[in-house]
Formats: sequence, structure tokens, C-alpha cells
Amino acid sequence: MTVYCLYIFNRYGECLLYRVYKRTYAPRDPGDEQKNMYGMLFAMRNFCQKMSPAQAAESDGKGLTQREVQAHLQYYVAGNYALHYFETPTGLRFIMTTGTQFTGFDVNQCLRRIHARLYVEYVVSNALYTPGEPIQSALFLEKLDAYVKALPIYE
Amino acid sequence: MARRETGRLSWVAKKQASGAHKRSQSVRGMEAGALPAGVGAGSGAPAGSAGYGAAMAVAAAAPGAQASPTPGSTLNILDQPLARQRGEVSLSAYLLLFCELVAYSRNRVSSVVALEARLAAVGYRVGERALEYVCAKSGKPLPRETRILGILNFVVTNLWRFLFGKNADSLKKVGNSDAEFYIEEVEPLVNTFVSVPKDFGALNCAAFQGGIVHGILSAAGFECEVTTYVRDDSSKPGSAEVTMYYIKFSNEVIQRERRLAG
Repeated sequence: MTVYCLYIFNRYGECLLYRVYKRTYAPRDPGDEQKNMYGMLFAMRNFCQKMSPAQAAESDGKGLTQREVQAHLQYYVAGNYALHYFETPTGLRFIMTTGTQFTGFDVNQCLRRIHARLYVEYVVSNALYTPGEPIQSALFLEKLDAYVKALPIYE
Repeated sequence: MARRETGRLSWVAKKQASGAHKRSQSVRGMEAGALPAGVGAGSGAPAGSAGYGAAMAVAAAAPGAQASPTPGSTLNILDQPLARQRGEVSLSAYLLLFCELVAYSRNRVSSVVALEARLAAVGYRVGERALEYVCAKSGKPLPRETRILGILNFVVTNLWRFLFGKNADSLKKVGNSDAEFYIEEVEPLVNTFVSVPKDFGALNCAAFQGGIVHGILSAAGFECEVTTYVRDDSSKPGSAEVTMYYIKFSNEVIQRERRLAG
């Protein structure tokens, strides 16, 4: 079980952070990969929403809340890796690719923590960060690496 | 009572004029605490912070005050005791405001030096008012400080505790000069989450706090110059950078000091 890499996108699809951990190869063009990934997730997100059974129920007039209707993509598992996805209400997307053996460990929860405890503090509260630009903050990267490397799924 | 607010966003810069001498651990502990607390997060706020919400309310109970209103009751502003000693502000709100201040200033200057000067100018205005405020709210009448050491001690303890919830790390005198002093601080509150990119050179956002010191001293009648800079302190691992507020008093102040010393 390993953590391969971590991406953060903003709601305009700009990649704010691409951090490699145990990825075994480097893509030829990371920018291209990021664009494809954002496009795929965007489509998947909309499709997940469309397929939500709660949505049908809502049209029956049962008056479900927005929260109940929402059906966010959480992760997908491919043959030899898994991709975990977390989206904040402001449209920030946190994506982590890991190995497939993560049962019993909530990777989404990790992404939430990265957002709440690291991103909000060391990026949003950093007076010298301009929103929308790639994250360069050394302090944030240091904390992020320490956090990811301390995860039980990181080996 | 050292305590750490572990609520998601409700970290508090407890700014109170008295009572929290262990506060330094609390504010400084936040950065270090972010990660370990993150792993087992949601462990809930410690019992000690239960009163925090009440303290934020206007009608905070004032320890030792004559009429201490019960939390939750709303008092007319005229009925509140002047000696309200607990003033707490959410750290995230405070730092977001500071971020905006920096962003605003950044758009209006062309160099790092000018940016620091601008931050210091804002801090100066804060300092002038902070002195007034602390003196008015201190409960018992404070003697007016007329000596240099007296005012500097007042700044690094009372005012620092009021503004940042802890004492300054150290106050030192430049060896062979009567007019020069410096205050050292390992991690200024406004720099808690700031990471300076390389292209900003030696920018230190704590210039704001340097401006506060300048404002306080000027308002107290001690004309001086304050410069803020960063010194690399390799003797302490982990916290290699120390912020220094270098204070140089003007000649009149020194002459007065000599006269008072007799």
C-alpha cells in the first residue's frame, strides 16, 4: 500500500499543487495529465449526480435536502491503483492516488484533514499567497509531506 | 492554564491583559499541534475551552470585576464594567484580516522595503490605540512610565500579552549604547502561517508588529525608530529564524533619561 501522488485543483480546473510521493514513473507532460484528470473528474462528478437515486426521489416531491441528494464521487479503483476524490463546497478538489489495499482506512477523511488543517491554515491564512496561483509555500509543503508520510497507508 | 483549542476553525488568539502567563505555549503550540492533532482530529475541544463562546460574547465575565454579568445575558454597553479583562479574537479571523491587509498593501507598493514600511505604518496606528486601550481597561490606575526600562518592560509584558496572548521572548540592550534595545521573538503571531516565497527576499510581515511597538512608544512619549528584521539563529534547531524589533531612542529621550537618573 502506497501513496502515489496528490493533486489539488481549484474550481476553474487549474492545478494548484501536484505532489509526487511514490509514483513509479513521471508522466511525459504533467500539465496534460492534469488537464485530462480534471476533465475526467468533472464529467464523472456530473454523471454521479445524475445517477443518484435520491434525485429521482426528489422529483417525487418528497422534499429531500440538497445534502441528501448529493452523490459525490468518493473514489474509484482500477486494477493496480485507486484514486480518491474530495471536493469542497467552494469547488476545490483534492485528489490522491494510492494502491488498492486501503480497506479499513478512510482516505477521504485524510483529504478532508488536508483541506481543513493544512490548506486552510498554511495556504489561505498565508498572507503572501495569491489565490488561484500554484502553491509554493514551503511551510505548507513541509507540513503536507510530514502528514502524508505519517499516514498508515504510506509505506 | 495552557490550553489548545482543537475545534476545526475556532483556534483562538486569546488576547487578554492578564492571567495567562502560560499562554505562550498555547499560541506557539498551534503550529506544532496541527499535525498530531490532525491524525486523531475531532478529539473535541478540551473542557477548558468550554467558556470560550461565552468569552467571545459581549457580556464576558470579568474575573475580579465588581459586577460580573452572567454569560449569555446582554448588557447595555454603558453598563459593562470598564475593567473587562478578557478579550479574545478568533485567530483565523484575525489572520484573514491580516492577509487582506498584506494583499491590499502589496498591490500598492513596488518594493519589499516599501511593503514593510506600509505594514509598519498600519501597525503604528494600532500601537497608539493599544496603549490607550490597555491603560483605560486595566482596572487599577497604571503609573505613567517615564523611564525607558519601565516602558519597555510594560511593552513586552502587559501590552504583548494583551495583543498576542503571551510575553515577548526577550528584551535585550545593545551592549555599549544607552539608546538601543531590541525585542526578540521566535514566532510572531502574524507570521504563524506565513511562508515567504524566495522572490520576496527578506520580507518579514512582522514589520506590522514592529510598527505597533513604534506606535506604543511614541504615544507614551518615547520618540524612537523601530526596525524589524530577521536574524538566523542556528543555535536553536527547528526555529532558525528569530524576528528582532530593533529600537533606537532619540536624543531627547536619552537626555531626559539621564536627567531622571540624576
